[in-house]
Amino acid sequence: SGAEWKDVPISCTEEGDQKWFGEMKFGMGLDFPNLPYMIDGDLKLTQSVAILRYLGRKFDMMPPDVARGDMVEQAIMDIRQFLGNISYSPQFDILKPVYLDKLRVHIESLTNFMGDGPFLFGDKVTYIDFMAYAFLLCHRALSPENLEGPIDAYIGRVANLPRIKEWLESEECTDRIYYFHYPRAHCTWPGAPGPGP
Amino acid sequence: MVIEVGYWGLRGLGEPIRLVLRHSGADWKDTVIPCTEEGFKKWFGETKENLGLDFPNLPYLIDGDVKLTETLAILRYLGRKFDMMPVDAAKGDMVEQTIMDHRMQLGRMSYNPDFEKLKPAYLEKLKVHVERLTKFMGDGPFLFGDKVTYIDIMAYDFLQCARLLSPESFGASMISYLDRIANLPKIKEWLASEDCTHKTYTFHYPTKATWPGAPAQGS
Repeated sequence: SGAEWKDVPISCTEEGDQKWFGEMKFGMGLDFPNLPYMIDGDLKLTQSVAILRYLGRKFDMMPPDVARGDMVEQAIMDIRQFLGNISYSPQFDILKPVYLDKLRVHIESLTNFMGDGPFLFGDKVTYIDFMAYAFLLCHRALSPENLEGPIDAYIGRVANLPRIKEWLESEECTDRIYYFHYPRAHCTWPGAPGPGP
Repeated sequence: MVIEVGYWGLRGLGEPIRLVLRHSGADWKDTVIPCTEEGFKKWFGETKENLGLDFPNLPYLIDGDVKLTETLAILRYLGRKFDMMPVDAAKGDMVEQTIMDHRMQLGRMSYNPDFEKLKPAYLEKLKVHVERLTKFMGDGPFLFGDKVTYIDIMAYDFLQCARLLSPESFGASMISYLDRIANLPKIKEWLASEDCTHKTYTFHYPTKATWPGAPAQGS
């Protein structure tokens, strides 16, 4: 968006945990305290999708067809949550094949839906493209063989959006150091950062 | 044009959609996929891939040329159609997601063989959830004041599931809210009707869930 914004990372350490749960979480005036949160002036929001939709409206990044937009948003969210749930599960290895079956169907549906693109809803980049991009990178980290072909080209197009490209190439790009999941002991698949795009 | 909704013969994620349609008074068709081996096979073997759905799934909605899946996409579509959207879009989305999040946790736990082990931690979360919703709503009468939104209907069915599991987690204030929704004229009519499925439908798939959430006797 190019907007001015402040990134408040809560460190994935015991100290970070204590700071969030001990001080921050219940002291910020959030109706439904959680991470991620967003504060924009008087507005305080939690829930990823609520925040994304707020920013989508603010930055003219909403899909032209609202109903289909909602459907794609939810379909993308669904499978990402499935991956998240199994990643933290001791049963990860047993559940992975189920996830992979769902992933294959998802990639096919998404690719068919998009057609020539270039983005999910044609020429206009929407907040849903950024959700898709970030989530597809996670799917790719686990299962790169399923992210080849047109979907890979799509990922490339989002990565090449000017400010995204600038970010990815920057010194401080956190893609090089951030895991996909909280690398706690009980997290079976934390999704460590790969060698690079 | 008759709106068609397809979903399993249970409450699960689909029931709020059915309730919104009942409340709206619109003409609609309830296509029930039976929770039987036959129903299962027919859905997965034949129907699912042949309805022209971009992301085949249950629930689905067909309204003329519009074909949708994903519970929330369908609810928001009907919310816009029947003037049941929250005035504050951002807060609406936040409450919608919070309620969905919680219901999904309950759902995952219900299908988990370790249900009993997971229940105490869940009940702690339920307590917080009920507290926060009650606080958010203030005097109400509904989540966003006077206007009934699709989010109230979602809240109703999803909280009724939690209430079946743990009635003691529901204080007077939340119970009054649930009653207010149950007393909306067309909902009330439905709940009192001979064939009201809330007398027979489980919340979860009966043969697959550890806790199916079968209706309490005489409710």
